[in-house]
Amino acid sequence: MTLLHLVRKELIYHKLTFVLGLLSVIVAVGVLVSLLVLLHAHDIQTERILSEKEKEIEEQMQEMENKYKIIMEEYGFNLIILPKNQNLGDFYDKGYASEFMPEDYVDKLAQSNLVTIRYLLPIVEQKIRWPEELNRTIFLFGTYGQVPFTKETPEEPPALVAVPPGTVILGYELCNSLNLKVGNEVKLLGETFKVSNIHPQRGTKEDITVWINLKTAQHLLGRENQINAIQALKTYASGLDFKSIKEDINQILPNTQVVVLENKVSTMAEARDRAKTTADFSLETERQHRLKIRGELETFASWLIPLVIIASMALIALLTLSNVRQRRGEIATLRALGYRSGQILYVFLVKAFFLGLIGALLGITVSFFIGMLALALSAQEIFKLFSIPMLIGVLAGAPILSILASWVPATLAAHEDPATILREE
Amino acid sequence: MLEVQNLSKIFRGPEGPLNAVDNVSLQVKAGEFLAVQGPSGSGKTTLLLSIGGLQTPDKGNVIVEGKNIYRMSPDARVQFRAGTIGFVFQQFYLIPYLSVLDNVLAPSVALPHSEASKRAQELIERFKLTGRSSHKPSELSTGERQRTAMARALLNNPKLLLADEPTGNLDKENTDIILNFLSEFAKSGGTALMVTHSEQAAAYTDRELHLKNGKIQ
Repeated sequence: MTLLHLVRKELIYHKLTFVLGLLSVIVAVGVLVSLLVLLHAHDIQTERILSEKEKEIEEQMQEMENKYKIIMEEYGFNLIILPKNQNLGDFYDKGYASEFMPEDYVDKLAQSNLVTIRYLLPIVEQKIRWPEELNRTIFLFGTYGQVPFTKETPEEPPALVAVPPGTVILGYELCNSLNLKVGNEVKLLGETFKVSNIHPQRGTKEDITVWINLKTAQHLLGRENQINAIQALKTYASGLDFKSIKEDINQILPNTQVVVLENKVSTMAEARDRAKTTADFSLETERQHRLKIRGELETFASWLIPLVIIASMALIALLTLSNVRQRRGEIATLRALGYRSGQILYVFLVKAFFLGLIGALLGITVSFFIGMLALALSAQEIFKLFSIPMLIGVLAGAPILSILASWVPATLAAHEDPATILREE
Repeated sequence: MLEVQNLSKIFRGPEGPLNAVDNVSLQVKAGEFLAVQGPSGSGKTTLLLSIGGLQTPDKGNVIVEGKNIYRMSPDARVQFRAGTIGFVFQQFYLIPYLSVLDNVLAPSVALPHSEASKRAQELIERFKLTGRSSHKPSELSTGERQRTAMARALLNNPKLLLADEPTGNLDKENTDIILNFLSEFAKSGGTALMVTHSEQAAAYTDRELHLKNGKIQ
């Protein structure tokens, strides 16, 4: 005969009281574990959703980056290098540079180790009157075509063809109004040129532009060995890093300034950046949304869990108190038989311990099945949501709380005056 | 064996103090069976509980086996009671969820000893409960319950047996069994003190004391 034997027999005898206590622990543990599992499941789901979204964005960005690289490969950036003293306001106003710089700047740039620029186009351009054609205004554009920047032969033809000496290329409007055709001869500033090409209508100042050989243009304009701009075509820039390109060019040609020309590549890069920003924003919105849901769940749990635990503890305390009242005669007898008050306390607290432990085990089992039904997951998946520390915490916590709830009634039982009870009964 | 010196117990209630036991002194020798008689409310049970170490008196001493039990620490007194004093009550106070055997063995939790099971079996046989040892108190007759309570009181071989109206709820046959046993217990060297208001029961004892309003007459 031991105290545990006594406790076991009493549990069986007063099973209704025990079952009621057990139910309260099962509910409390069930609610606690279910909410913790729900929060854990939410975290995992959030991680999965965000990870999938991040992957999707990454793939989209990669696709855009690839397209960007293809476009970059095809088009590159176009830059224009102007004399340092060129007023940019004046440049934009007139549509050409009014200041000049030495022509050998092109060679300096071409011979440098700057690998980001592939083609260079030295130009001299001025707005002049065409005396031979009723003094009409034209743009005279002198060039000898692009200079391959690297020593390798360009894989593709330059965007602009060279203009050999003695030939002229005309804009659409000039050709149309003067009724000129390829092969006709025209006079310009006293020189005779053969029309080698006519550009299609572009709707820009190019429609009234005359392209001639650079050397001829320099001679006609009295600007021997001088140019007023260098176009750098198909320039590569990683991530629109124009600043470093400009710095590189300025190091080689300190008396110049660099202007980036808008083109398809920069548009694409901007579109890519905008898409990235939008995707990041969308991801952040999703993250915030999931955080908000978690916050609401946490708030709900932070109210419900203590409430259920307190209610469960209160019920256990009441049931223990009722048990103590019911067993007053027994307590007095045991004291008369020589049981110490510590042994009486032990009888009630061991019962509370088993109540908490068995209730916790059943509560965990119940929440396992609730989880399976509520989250529509398999037993194996649900099992993964039950962390070992959580289970240990619940299995240790429930008996402790049950003991705490029973402590006051158990102490009352332990300190019952046996003489009073025996006299009364 | 038992000496009570100037024992007093006062209960303070809303109607003023009540002298439940008033300056009682008595001596009971080993081998003696003493009856304490008196009407209801005369202080018999209070005297019995005080002698058993369950009711701390306001004044006086209780000396059992030469030891003043109220000068012991509470734990020592409990231990002493478990090994020296046996109780039998009118209401039996059997533990309802334990079998006869477990009820008889219940004192062994307070004072464990290796012979407890053997002793319990002997007592069960002695009190003719052999066929009932696995039964719950609710399945026993009144006489069987009191015999179980008696067996329980004797498990730890007490020197002093205190019985509070032990035959109050029994028929003649069971009354004889219990009173004969108490008498035998005394004759075998134990000390028995029985509280009763039955003249018939008192006739089994060696000596009678009458208590009225807490005082020995």
